[in-house]
Amino acid sequence: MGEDYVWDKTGEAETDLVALERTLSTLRHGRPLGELPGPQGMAAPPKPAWAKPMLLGAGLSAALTLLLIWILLPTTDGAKTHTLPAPARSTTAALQIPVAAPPPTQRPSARPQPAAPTAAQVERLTRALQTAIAQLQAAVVELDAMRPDAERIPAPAPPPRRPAKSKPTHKSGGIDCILDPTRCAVQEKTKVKRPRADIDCILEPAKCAKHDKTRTGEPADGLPDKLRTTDIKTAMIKRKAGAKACGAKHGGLPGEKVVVKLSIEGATGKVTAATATGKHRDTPLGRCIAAEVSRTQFPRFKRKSLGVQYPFRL
Amino acid sequence: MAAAVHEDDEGLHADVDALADDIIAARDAQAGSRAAFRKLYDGYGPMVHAILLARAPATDVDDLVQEVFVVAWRRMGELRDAAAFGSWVASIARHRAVDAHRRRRPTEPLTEQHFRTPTLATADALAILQVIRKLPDAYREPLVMRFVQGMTGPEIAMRTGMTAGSVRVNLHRGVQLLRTRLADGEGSRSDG
Repeated sequence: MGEDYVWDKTGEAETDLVALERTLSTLRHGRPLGELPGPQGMAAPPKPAWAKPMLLGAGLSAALTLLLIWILLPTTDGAKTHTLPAPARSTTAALQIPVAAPPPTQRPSARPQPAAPTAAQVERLTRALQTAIAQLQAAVVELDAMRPDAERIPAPAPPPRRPAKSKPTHKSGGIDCILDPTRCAVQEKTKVKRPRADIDCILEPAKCAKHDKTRTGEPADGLPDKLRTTDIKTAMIKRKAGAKACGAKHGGLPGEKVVVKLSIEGATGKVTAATATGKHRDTPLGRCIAAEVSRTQFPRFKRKSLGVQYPFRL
Repeated sequence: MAAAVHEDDEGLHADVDALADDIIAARDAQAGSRAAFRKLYDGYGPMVHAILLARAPATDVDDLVQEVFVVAWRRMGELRDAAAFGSWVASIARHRAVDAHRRRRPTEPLTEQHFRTPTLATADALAILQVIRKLPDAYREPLVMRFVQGMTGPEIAMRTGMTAGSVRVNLHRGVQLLRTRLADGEGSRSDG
């Protein structure tokens, strides 16, 4: 009867529930909605998915076209002299036609068409490309900022940069790769290695621990001084199902927290003692979870032992 | 028995109609209609209020409700499924409650009773609310929605997107646990 009343206010109402409802109704919601922000607060409909790639593609093709034009155009510094081949039957020397007079400050260009770009040209080209890319990025940012809810949607963050100290060659890596593919190959190798390690870390945290050790300069075969939080969590997570089962068996409430204090032996990684703390100390539920925790195998470490408090949420 | 089934059917139809209205209102609000958004506020305001009341200090809840709906209004463009407005705005409310809790933590020497001068009834209500807040997560929100906001079980299920079965079980167990705690003396005003 009372259950129906709780569910949909039908059936016989129990007096304590009615009193409860009446008392709590003083906290009921009643304030009308205040002023809503203007239309600039509204989120714009999402841009079509093709907008950004198309913009980037157009920008890149423009940059490449510029690059090609820049490479193919004859040099403009100094006067140019196009040498026309002499007529086949003529015995006279080839006809020299001056195209432009050399500026007084620059040396007359007597050199033939350059076969390969000089270092200065490469540098200029690099700068021009970098500028073009920067302009493109700025255009993309500006395009996003044109959304009415600019304050809400942050402008696309620049890609995370690694500190310059660790990888100085990354700064102009793209251009360097084009100009000198051997350097590019070296960078590719280093690039491939790191993500593999990270993925391994996610899939198998035990591997991650090993990876981290080598990164910090610790000998791979040596033991850590003590367990890290990730080691503890990785090991304890396997006990979670057992702890939940204890909760179901011994009347633990969903969401209830049971904190277990345990001692781990460094030489073996085994749990030497485990007890529930607080209100679960010496209760069937606490004992059950403590017994479950006692079965945990941790990685070994240098210290003699380590004390840990671990909370289980049922 | 047949009558009960018939009543349930009617209730179900009413819920489906209300949900359909809410979906239309959510779509209109996405198109920029303030009137439609106000309609959503009228429908979902009590639910959001209950979620916040179950987590945040009672004195802050009214302001937090406004904040939640302003955020929702700004982000309506992000809502992909108009039928999921309830669970979406509920998640905004839960995050807001956590934020409010974090903001208050370092400077909270007084309890909320010190900030308002409660009437006798309000003081009782706040004391009971404290007991509800100590219940497991799964029971808190449905209990506040049912007993503070006066929503029915089917309405709670419809607004939150939970199944009717879950809401029914949580309400039933929550009431049992609340009765036990209140009988144990928790929630009397002298407790604070």
